[in-house]
Amino acid sequence: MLLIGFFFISLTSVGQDKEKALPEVRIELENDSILLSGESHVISVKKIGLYASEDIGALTQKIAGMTLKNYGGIGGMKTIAYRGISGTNTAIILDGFALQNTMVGQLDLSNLQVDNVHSLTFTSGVPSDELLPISALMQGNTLSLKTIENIPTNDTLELRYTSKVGSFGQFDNFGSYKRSVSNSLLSVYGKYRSFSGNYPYIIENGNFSSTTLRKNNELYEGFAGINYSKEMNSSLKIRTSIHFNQSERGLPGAVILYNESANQRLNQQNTYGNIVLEKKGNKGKMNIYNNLNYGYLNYIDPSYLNNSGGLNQWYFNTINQTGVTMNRKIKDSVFMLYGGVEHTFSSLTATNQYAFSPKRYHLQSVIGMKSMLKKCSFTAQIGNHWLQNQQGASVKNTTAWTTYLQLEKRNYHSLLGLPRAWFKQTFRMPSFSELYYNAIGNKELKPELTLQLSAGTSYRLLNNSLHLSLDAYYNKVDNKILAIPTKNLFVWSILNVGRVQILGVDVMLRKNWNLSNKLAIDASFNYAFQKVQDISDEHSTTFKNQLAYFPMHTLQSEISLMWNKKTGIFLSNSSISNRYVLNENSVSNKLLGFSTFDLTCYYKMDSYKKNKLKLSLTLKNFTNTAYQYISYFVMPGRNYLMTLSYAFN
Amino acid sequence: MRLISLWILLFFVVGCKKKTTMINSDVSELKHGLLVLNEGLFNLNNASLSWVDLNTNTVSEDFFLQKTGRKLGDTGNDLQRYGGKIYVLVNVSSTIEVLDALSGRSIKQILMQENGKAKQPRNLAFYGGKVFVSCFDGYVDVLDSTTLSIEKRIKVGSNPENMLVANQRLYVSNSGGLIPSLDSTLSVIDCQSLVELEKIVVGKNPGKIVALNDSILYVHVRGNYSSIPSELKKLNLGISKTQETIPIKISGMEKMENQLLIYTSETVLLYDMQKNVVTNVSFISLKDIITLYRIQYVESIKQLFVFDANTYTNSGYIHRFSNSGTFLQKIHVGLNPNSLIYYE
Repeated sequence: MLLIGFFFISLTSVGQDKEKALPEVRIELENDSILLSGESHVISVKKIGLYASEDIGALTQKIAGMTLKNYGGIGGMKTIAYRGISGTNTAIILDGFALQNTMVGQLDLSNLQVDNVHSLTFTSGVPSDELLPISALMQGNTLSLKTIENIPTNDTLELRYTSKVGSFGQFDNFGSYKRSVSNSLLSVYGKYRSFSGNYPYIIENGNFSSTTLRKNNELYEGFAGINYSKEMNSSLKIRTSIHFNQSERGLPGAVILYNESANQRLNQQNTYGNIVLEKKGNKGKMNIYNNLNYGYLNYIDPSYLNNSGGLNQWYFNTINQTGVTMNRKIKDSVFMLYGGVEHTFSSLTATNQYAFSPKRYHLQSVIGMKSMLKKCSFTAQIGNHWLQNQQGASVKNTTAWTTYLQLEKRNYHSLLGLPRAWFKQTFRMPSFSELYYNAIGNKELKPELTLQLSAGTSYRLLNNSLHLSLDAYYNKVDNKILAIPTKNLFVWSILNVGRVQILGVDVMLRKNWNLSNKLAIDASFNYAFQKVQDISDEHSTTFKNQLAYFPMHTLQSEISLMWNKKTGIFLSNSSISNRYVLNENSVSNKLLGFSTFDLTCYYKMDSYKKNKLKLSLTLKNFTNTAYQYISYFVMPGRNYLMTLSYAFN
Repeated sequence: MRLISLWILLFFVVGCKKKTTMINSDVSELKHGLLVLNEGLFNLNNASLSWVDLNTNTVSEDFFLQKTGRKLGDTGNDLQRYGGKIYVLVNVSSTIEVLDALSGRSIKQILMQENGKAKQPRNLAFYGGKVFVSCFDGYVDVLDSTTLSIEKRIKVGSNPENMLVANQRLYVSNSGGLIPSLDSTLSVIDCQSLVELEKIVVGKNPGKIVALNDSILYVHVRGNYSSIPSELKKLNLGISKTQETIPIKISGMEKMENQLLIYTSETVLLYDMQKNVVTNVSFISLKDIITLYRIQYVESIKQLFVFDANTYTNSGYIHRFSNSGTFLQKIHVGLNPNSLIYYE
């Protein structure tokens, strides 16, 4: 009946304007799907294969409370917001190292590939066990990726190869090699993908609608990486890796009525090199790490109407993090201290028409304590930012303190389940673009301050086959940084003008049925309600209006049938309610909600001498729904993806 | 099975979205009202025309859609009437929409492309049956108002914008808004031969041009919005060919008879062009205006229309004033209203 209830929730929530009262739930699952432990959501390698997402950005929308801004399928930029808070408050961690972009403040998640990801863990609050970089502990949320190449294994040799062929000229080839010898591990991987991107789309223009092809949407992208780790002795390990990716793509832009010309190009390169010394003892662990990110971005716009025949802009971003993070049990007690310090140097060199080259020195320190009592756990953390921005003769220092408190029940109660609550303050420094970009940057910007309050619980019901989870939260953002036109529509400025409050509920439910030895069915539903309101000025037209592009209701639902552990069908649905393209919630600003359905069928062949083969076929958006995440950034209609995976392990 | 059938039900109910049904225009005739161009916002294809019926004080929000069954496009920049036709320039869509001035029905849509690039039409001027269209690609296009075909492209400076016809000459502000160094010139075009005669250097980023008579022009040079200030220049085009800077803070201006309305976000003052003096330092009240975007004076009824862009991202207002500065009416229109045509 609960499942039926959820379907009806989706029926009533999508396409409607006003929120409905909803039942509340929350979930805890095993490790082959979306899983929750405290405030963590995990998507494991099995589910990643079934979702057949084109990149990490597309995958994140499966997490309850996540709002994805997707600018158009493969190669289209993807950014996230969680519980109404911008993705700039989310740390992206790859195998324990932070990936950063101080130019625009957040990574384009379309640049992170999924083929070698073993698990994706999204944590709201502070991650529980791992020694993460200090900058991740200071962020509001953490998206942590673990790659297959870094998973320790007893096998001496592992080989993997994945080939994908899809609609609109999609070709992906991924290969990896992993070798373990005594106490060391070496792995390398490489991937190349291309996409012509010329998918048909329907555009409605008043009483008319027309079908045309997306232009200037091709992508050519390569990835490569090498990982090496060695256990020096039982307590000391060294781990190092280099990841590289380079891409060249067309930017189709928004569909402009009557003007189909689109010829902007974007070339990007990113290199991440890192090393960590991991020391562990009986009472604690310590990591000393260095992480270097270097990347460039080359934007070309031949149609820009200046005197030099267009734009050809280069931006070089360098970030170097050095830090130490540790934890240690307090003698004969249930308490553990943790903390550390991290220094980040970042610079940007822009060779555009308004050349600028800012630098930033950022020192972050954290100290916290966890107690692991039998019945509950308690965490308290305090953090400090010291930051200096330099641009030319301008030098500006900023200091801020942040706090985090968490309380969680550890033993299950039949009525209360596993209740939890936490509070966190975070701080976001404006990006280099917000501070200095061309004529619109504002070097007087103050940091954006975010406060998050969350409470929830989890239940296990029906002999542990039904999992429910519910979280309610209140977030507030002060000094929100917004770009607004100031002189006229062509002259914009970046200002601290906004205050935003967010009220929301995340509900998750999962049920599995083992109908026979051969047939297993699994269904899950994630529902999120979020009221993301502008509370900047009570006299404003937009006071208490829902912020642009935040749907009030989102639903992710899926059902999988597996036969004999070899053959399966997986059906998934994403539904998003109406949104507004601007903060004024008027009829003319309304962007219709949508619901898309994907279907994956797969077959695993019997293993032969460690050789494994899997075939899968995914039909994406099989109802051929015309939809847009961002107004006039049209998404592809019905399309297919065929995947062949081979593994030797 | 129950799950699957519910899923199918979900698909049909959610997938079959209610289609928007366009209704026929309820604006039967264009009389005693205002036709307003709402600029919209970049990349949202939401430029629109509002019809304000001054008899009933009602606003038809999307007049263009009602009349043509399609949208106006992306970023409307100018709206003017010349003879029996209305011309609407849509900058990012790069079109000129030509409408019948009596019925509002579409006569022609002119696609403004050159070698696959958008010309980006910006402003209009008219003379002797010709329609002059400044295009951001550095040209003024000359359109025959009868055949509605482009007769000539006249090369001018960088990113031309505002234009004015005086003494059979077309003065064009070359803003250079898309180049870091900005342009500083006015192009002078002979309206008969359609040839650029000269360029006059006036100051960085010239915009609005106003003529007191055939030989005196006022030009708003906007600077770079930071280190180079916005200024008002007076040009004597007679024998002396002199220029002087009027020491008044300025964000925009509009001609009202022989006076200039000079405005900033704080005030609107009145400047007598013949006597060269400020006659009123606070001509109209800006108390209720959130974002003063433009002022337009309609000579036939001697009234002022102040366009309030309401922070540029919310639907805007038009505030109507008499020529003595008395507030008459506030009208709620579309996103970023920037120009209007008055109908008697």
